[in-house]
Amino acid sequence: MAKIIHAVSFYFFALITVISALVVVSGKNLFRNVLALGLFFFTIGGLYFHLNAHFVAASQILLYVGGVVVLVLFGIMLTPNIADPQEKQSSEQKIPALLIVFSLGGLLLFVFMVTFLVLSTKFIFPQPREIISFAKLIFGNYLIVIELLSLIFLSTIVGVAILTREEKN
Amino acid sequence: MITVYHYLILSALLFVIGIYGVLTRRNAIGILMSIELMLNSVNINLVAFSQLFEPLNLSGQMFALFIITLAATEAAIGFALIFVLVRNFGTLYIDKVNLLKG
Repeated sequence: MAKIIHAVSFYFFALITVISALVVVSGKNLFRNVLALGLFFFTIGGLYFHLNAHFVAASQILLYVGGVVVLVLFGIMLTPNIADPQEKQSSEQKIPALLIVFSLGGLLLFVFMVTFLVLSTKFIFPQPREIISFAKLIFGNYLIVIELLSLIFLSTIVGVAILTREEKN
Repeated sequence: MITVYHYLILSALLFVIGIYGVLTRRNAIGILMSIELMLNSVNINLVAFSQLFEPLNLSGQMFALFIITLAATEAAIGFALIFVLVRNFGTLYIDKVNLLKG
């Protein structure tokens, strides 16, 4: 019974994810595309819950739905004439793009078929002390990487402030 | 029974959808959104491999967290560049920006 629920929830989330991704890349109205992007981020968070990665799911929803989608919405509202549905949104390069997409997808499928992976048959339940293991990794093995990330954040803030300031003659 | 192949195929599908968006979108905000799709599809792979092969070792999820934070900074920088583009050229459509075209 648990396995059936597991499978059904996976297909549910996968279907919504693929549909919202298609709306994001092919919709005409940019505002609706952004809303589809928010739905996409939510369902990816659902897939992380499905994989027992609760901390990653919470960060996904906080950072993407709370941060990136709001940023994109502000970007749309601050730029003139962007939410105009009359304007054409896709270029004339659809056939070459489809060619590239299908060849890359076929290559990926071929690689999946010839690669032998040992499949785990265990149904894994959530870890009891997931946050503690995360804290041990953050302040232990990956401390230098976290420090580098904070450096990247600092340079991002400075760079954005310099790029977007008003020009004075 | 959901295996790692299901997640691999889902993430490959989302990745090629993102590539299609990057190649065909005319405006810069659409391209940025498609790049976010591609980054998310890679994250699904990392978490799935971490959970289905080494469920007691959270290193794969750590790398997914790194990618999430880097994607947030990338979105901020990308929007700053888009604002500069709109201010200097008055347009958001990248086929109108042909400064380096001979």
